[in-house]
Amino acid sequence: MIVIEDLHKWFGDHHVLKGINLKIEKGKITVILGRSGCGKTVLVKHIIGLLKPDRGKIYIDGVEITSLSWRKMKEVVKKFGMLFQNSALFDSMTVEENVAFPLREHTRLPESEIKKRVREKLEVVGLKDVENYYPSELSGGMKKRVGLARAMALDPEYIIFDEPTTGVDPPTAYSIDMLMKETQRRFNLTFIVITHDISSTFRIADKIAMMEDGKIIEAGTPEEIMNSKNEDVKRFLEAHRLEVIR
Amino acid sequence: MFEKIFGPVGRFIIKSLEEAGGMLILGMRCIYLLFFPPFRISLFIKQMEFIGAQSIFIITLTGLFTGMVFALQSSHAFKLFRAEYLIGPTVVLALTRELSPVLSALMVTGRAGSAMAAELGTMKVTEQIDALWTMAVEPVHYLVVPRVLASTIAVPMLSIVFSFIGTIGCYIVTVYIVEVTPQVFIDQVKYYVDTSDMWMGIKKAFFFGYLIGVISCYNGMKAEGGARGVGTSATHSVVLSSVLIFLSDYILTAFMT
Repeated sequence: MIVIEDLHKWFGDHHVLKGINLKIEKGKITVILGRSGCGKTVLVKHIIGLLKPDRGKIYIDGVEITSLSWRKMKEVVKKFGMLFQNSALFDSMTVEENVAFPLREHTRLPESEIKKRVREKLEVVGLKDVENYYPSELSGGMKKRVGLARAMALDPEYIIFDEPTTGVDPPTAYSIDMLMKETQRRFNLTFIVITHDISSTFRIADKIAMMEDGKIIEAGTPEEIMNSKNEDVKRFLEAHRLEVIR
Repeated sequence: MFEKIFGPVGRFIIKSLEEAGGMLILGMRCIYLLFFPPFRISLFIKQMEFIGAQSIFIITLTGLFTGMVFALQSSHAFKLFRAEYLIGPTVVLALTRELSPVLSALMVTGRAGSAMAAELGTMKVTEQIDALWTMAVEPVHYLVVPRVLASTIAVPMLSIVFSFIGTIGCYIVTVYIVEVTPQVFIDQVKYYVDTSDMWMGIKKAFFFGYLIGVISCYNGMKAEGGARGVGTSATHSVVLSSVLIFLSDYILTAFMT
């Protein structure tokens, strides 16, 4: 379980996170929903230790991580996988080398076992015979799948998705959503998804945390969010409805 | 009015101090992480090949012509005093103590430093460096340590090659154009140049190599804003490395002599 308590972050004079309080339960898909620039990415970068907060605490499975040294933090980070918005695949490596990278770094498995695991992970995300391709030779959707395979390479407990459906066409976005949902159910993983895509959110979320201007303004199940009395939440959902009608 | 005049100056000073502090921390962290496993030998060898082996041709070319031109120019002056026999030691001393470390470092800055900054800059703006962290791989350990170590070792080696080839260039001009006998050239060089001169150049090159590695990696890892940001970081690393090579050369020379 991830518990975030009164998290604050300033970049110069800009107060980006203004006291975030959030609980992320295990074995569920939690979507952090909010408009671009509201601080979603900054929040998840704190969870995975890429940024240090100016105030507040983050507990991962009971361990407070904000003051951990790199050596100890490394063990916590191994519990995570992350799929970046633009996949962040190493462009100088093939698909096989990308997915095998965490295995080669952190395990002493023989090459034959690594290759077997890479094949397995690629199959989980619905890819076959792409091991020797370079990221530049793949479509956006395929890159996301390879990114997910790489994020799953070390069998993490938590996987963070940064805008997984941004920049892909609607059918691909739908197939990515279905893949996420299926993978989460199959392996009982904890997914943290940050997005501004409302359709995608309601397709996959078990819990939604709505973010606005550096604060969590509402958190609950999709039904609770849908029926929220909060004016900002209503406005955000209404804007989406109008966009769909248009 | 006061803000208009002193504001930009103050901001420039703060930014420069921040940058200097950032580079110092990166440089120190790099030395610290060097002693922690995993020791990425293959990455280090790859960088040695890129920074060192692939620079040999340009270093040979630059060294040869520097030695030749310097010998030719100084021959005009030495002829006035009928002291042509001093061309060899003068050029070789200048090469070993000053020209080889400085020019080798500048060549490496232009060829490898800019490429290092651009490569890391591209990785930064495409979130590949963040991705390393999320796979529990310390980016400084994986990306910076092999590059800085390779640069620190490669530049002194290139400087030795530069001195050697430069001496050959000087020999060609002095013996075949100025017509000093080979024996006189060799005797005079042996008499005036000793190992302490060579060590001075090697120590400087060692420091310059470290400097180039740290500055290039720092600028690469700080790149932001897409293609333009990557270009700016590469340019900035070349300019800053070149300026600091000259500046530190003076300071090191003052301390060593």
